[in-house]
Amino acid sequence: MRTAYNRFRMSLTPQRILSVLFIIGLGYLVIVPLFLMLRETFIVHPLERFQIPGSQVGELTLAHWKRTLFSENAYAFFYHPLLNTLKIAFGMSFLALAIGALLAWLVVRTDMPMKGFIANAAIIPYIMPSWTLALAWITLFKNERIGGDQGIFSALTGIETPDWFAYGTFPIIITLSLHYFPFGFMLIGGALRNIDAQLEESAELLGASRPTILRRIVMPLALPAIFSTFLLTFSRGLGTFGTPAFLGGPVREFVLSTSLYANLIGQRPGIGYIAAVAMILLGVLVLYMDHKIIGTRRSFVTISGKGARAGLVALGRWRWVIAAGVVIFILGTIVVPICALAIDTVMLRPGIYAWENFTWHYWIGDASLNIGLGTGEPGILRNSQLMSALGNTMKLAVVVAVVTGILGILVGYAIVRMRGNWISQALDQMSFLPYLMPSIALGAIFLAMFAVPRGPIPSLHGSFLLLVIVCTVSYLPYAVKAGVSAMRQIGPELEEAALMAGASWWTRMRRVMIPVQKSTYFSGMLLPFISVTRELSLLILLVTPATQLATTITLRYTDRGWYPYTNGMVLLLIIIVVTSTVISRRVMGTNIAKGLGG
Amino acid sequence: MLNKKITRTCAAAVTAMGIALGASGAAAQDEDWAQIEAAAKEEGALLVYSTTSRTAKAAENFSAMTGINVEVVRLGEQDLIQRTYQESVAGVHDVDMVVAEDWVAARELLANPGYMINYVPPTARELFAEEDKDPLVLGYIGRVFGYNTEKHPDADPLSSVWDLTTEEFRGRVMIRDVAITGEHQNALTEWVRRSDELAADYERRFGKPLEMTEDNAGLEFIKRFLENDAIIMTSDTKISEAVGAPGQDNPPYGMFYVYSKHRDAPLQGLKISDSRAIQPTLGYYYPIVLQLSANAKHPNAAKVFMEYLSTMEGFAPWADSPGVYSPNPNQVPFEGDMPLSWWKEKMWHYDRDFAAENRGIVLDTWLKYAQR
Amino acid sequence: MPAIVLDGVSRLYGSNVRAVSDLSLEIPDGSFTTLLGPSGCGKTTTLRMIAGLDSPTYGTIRIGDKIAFSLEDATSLPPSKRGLGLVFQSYALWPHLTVAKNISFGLEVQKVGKAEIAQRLEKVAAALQIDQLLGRYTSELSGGQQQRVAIARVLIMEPSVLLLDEPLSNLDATLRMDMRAELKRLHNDTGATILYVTHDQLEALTMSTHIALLQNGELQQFAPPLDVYAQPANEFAADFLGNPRINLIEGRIEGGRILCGGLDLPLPDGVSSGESGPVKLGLRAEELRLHRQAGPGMVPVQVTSVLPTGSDWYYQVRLNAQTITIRQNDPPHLKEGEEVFLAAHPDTLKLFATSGKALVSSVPEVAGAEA
Repeated sequence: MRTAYNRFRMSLTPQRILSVLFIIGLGYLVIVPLFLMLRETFIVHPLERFQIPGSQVGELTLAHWKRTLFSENAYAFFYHPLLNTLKIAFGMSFLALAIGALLAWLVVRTDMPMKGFIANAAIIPYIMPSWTLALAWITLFKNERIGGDQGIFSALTGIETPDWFAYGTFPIIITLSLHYFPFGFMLIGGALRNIDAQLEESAELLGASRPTILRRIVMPLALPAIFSTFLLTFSRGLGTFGTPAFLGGPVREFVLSTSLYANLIGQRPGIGYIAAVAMILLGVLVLYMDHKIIGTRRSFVTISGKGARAGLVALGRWRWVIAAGVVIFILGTIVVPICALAIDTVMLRPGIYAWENFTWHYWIGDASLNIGLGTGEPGILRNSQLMSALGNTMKLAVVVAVVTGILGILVGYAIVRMRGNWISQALDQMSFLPYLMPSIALGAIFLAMFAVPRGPIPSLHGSFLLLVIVCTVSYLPYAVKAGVSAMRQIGPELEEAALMAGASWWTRMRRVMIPVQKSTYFSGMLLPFISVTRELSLLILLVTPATQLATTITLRYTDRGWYPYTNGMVLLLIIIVVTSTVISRRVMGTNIAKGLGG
Repeated sequence: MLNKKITRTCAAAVTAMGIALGASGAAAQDEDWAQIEAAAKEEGALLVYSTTSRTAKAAENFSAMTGINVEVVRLGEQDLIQRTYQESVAGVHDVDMVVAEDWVAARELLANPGYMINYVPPTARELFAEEDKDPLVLGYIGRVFGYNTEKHPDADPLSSVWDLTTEEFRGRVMIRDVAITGEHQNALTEWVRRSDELAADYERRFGKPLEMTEDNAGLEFIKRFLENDAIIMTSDTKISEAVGAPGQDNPPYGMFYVYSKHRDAPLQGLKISDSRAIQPTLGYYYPIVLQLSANAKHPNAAKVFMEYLSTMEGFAPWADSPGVYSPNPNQVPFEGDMPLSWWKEKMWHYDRDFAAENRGIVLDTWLKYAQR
Repeated sequence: MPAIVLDGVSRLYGSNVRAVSDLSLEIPDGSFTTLLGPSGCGKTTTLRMIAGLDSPTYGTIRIGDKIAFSLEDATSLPPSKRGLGLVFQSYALWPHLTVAKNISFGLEVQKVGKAEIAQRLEKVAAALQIDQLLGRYTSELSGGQQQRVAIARVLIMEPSVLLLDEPLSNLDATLRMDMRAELKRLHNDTGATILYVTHDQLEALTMSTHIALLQNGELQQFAPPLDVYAQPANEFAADFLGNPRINLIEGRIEGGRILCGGLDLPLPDGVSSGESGPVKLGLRAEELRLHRQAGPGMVPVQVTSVLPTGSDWYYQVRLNAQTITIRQNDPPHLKEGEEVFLAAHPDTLKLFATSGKALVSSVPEVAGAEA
């Protein structure tokens, strides 16, 4: 008995204590919300009571599930949106993967020119909000069906685009994959770079052809990265709302997230959260498959290759043609949406593309009721409210980036050091869960959780800290991925050597573990940083006048149709984010790719 | 700069006193308005959640006038209700008053449990119609059917809502997604409630009785409308632009978009008009309501702000476009627009109780056919 | 006083994987003790438990006069308090620090004064001949240089015991020879106790004063290297040490003689003449000779291969369907296929029971345990 107690006492190493603390913390911030959400699906809410005869508000009920899964209209309510969701999620994941992998292969394994530029630019589509591409698509390809000004393509060619091309599954998949292909590019690029050239060379010596090597050696080795990419994009595809609603509505292409929104707006959260639960379950399923299929094999890609880089595939006289094609493709996915945004901000009256209609009014003009849209608002750059909201956004983004970055290191440390232990697995999977939670649901639940003091936690309502906590939980998956991949690359001996030298845990982290993989950690902070700058639905319920953010404040312009302001703010954010990414690459050697564990 | 501000504040304060004096007669019965005003000054800042961004403008004017600072958080309809509800449940009473829409949901979640209470300030008590007092209405928003005036320069192409379900309008009618627009859901419950009128209009228009597979004409309309390939959009602005853009061979028609979009039509060169011939309703109107938090920390300041919003001056930020109507009978309609009383006659509203009970059915019917 | 004492140390992973099993060992002060065994035998786990990087599931570890680990006393000294220095197999040099910073890290952590650090750094760098490299980063060093830095990093802390985990395995063959000599010199110069882990029996034989031979987490024999070589405690010990491997031939004891594939040998001292039954006969290659002429106790065999190494000749013959290796350093110039006679030296032969245990052994079976 005593030895058992002693054994327990002596097993309390920093990493164990840390892991247990993380499990408790994540349990509170991830599992509890999940449970609360699930509970809502079994409860009668005020407006739901009318559809459940004889029920009382707050009662337990199975009616929501019955209605959604087994009613006569279950296909329309649930299964059809579910199928559409799967179609879109699979479609965009495969396309994004294909584009990302092809680009990665071209950049890493061929002698294509302009690689540096391409590698940098290929990440920008992810930096821009995903709906900008949807907006650009409509501007380019819309047809008579949704009326208004002609689409640019039709205006130029005189050809009416067919509906299936302009709206619905096809453009949703295209625009989402154009937004998410950087994931594949970064992860698979990283994997290709890490594959020891000797592995390919020995296959070549055995007489394997290039395609055979690609298929039998490179593909299997890159498989973990391919699966990671798939997992990341697929999960995003499950939860995305804006693009499917915007492009799918005109041809009635509805997804699970529409069901979630519709029922939340209809004040039927019990029904709405079932859609959220379904999205989470699908994500968990993919996560589980990923663990089953890849599982322990994941580590071999991240071993930094010692062997020399394999000989680059010569593209011959096609190399410039291919490079030009790639550059056009990437610039297209960047420049077109940016132009679609920018043009609105310099047109006095929207839709009139004449020189005399050109203006800087929406950027630097005085407040006026007589010019342009007559908004009575000063130009963006002179609008103190907008600028202070932008300041808040930046503050939040930086704080969240640093906090998630640090947590990512620590959680990554715990996961890697405790490998093989249930704690490690629990942490690994729990820290990925927030990635699967629809943010609109998460925001509401956090509001409920943190509005009152609970135990040792005071009420954080209305505080900046709450925004930080919510964003941190939401973007932790990115930082943990970076942390895990960084820690995997540090052999345990590096830390043990410091331990032998008498360095405390804190000293080891500070002087060895963190500096060794500095750039990876900084990279892990980039994605949370980018994501915060464009977060809306997660935070809308939590901001106060003092903590207004760029995204929440522009709502007031969106609902009046004053798009020059909304678009201008988005442009400013894009500029700031791209600039910070470039600066951090120069100064800190960061690389978003590493931030994903690539 | 500072000087100017002070001068403005003084001028405004004088006006405010004028209002207060004018209003005090009506308010005198059971409350001492002067005392409320005095207490309001003591309370200082006020926090308001609002679904309309113009509240911020009104708050600015109000602050300049009274020196009472008002902070406005702009939230979507559902977000506002959700946030206020969650905060109230949790006992966080930061917000003093709300400027809310979707009263059907707000009443269920906020008013019925007692988190929000109604308050009728002096001006409203004196001038507003009874139906605009509980809940206190800031203004009504009108939503209309619209068409392109280049395509139809002479005559209104619509004479019945059932026209929208005919072959001629197949794939040509746009509506903001009912699934994500709470007020649309409320409005369509009225079509269920007044099903007989709707059916009668069908017979008037086509000379034969309406054959239904759904339970009533309202739901039948939803079905036929969606089966006629209605185009589901996410924004009213996009609808009015699509309907009104010049140079179209086959422009779409708009259903239930906010009439206030017509304000920008001349500026943007949009060729758009709302249908005044369509039967049996020109669209629908719904209230923006003001509610006081039962646990407000600044109840007097909130009351004074509510009083201000009931005056024409306070309503000014909303008065700059058509389609927004003050319940204050002294308010002159926007140039070219009709007064609220005119609209109330020709446009359906909805019955709160009936809407609360039936909007789930409306939403389910919508989803059933939209997502089929 | 022994430098390190292990008492009944076991390390279990999960409930049934025993990495180390009931290990008791006393490592003499000032010795160069090698933990030897094939991979997976528990030697590195043992080293890590001594270092404090891993904890025993059962048992006690004492280092010097301190209890380093005891479950009963709930004691587990942190690694840095055990007065040990550990050189890792991978060297574990910190890539973000210079050589000088790598070496002085431990002193800095322990808040030693700058002047003293500089002085000790200079001394240790000179001793290991790396004073020219101090400003470099470790990625700019060769394998041998990296190893010196790793050793310097440990030596500067002046540990009472130096732990080395397969430090030579990453070096090429010629460098390995040099380093062996150097490590031996280091041991002689410092007089420190060295605990050395390797799977290379040659390293163990050449450098150690003591070998602890491990298999499957269990101690097989603990003795000076030549004792292990000459008097292996069991079949495994006999087989693991020595190159070429020992010849193990199945035979019988019958009537006070050893009969084995035609060989007929007298029982060595210490084996009772009353014994009988199957045995295994262990004969090292240098304990056998081939003769052109027949003699007493010899068996006729045919040479299957001849392998000259320059100094020696290895012959292989078939006996009892088994290949037997013989090493001779005088050149009898036998040819493949030649019919010759095999003679064994009866004094040095090793006899093992079918259980694998040595039948005759002048050293205690597990020396460390009782001593």
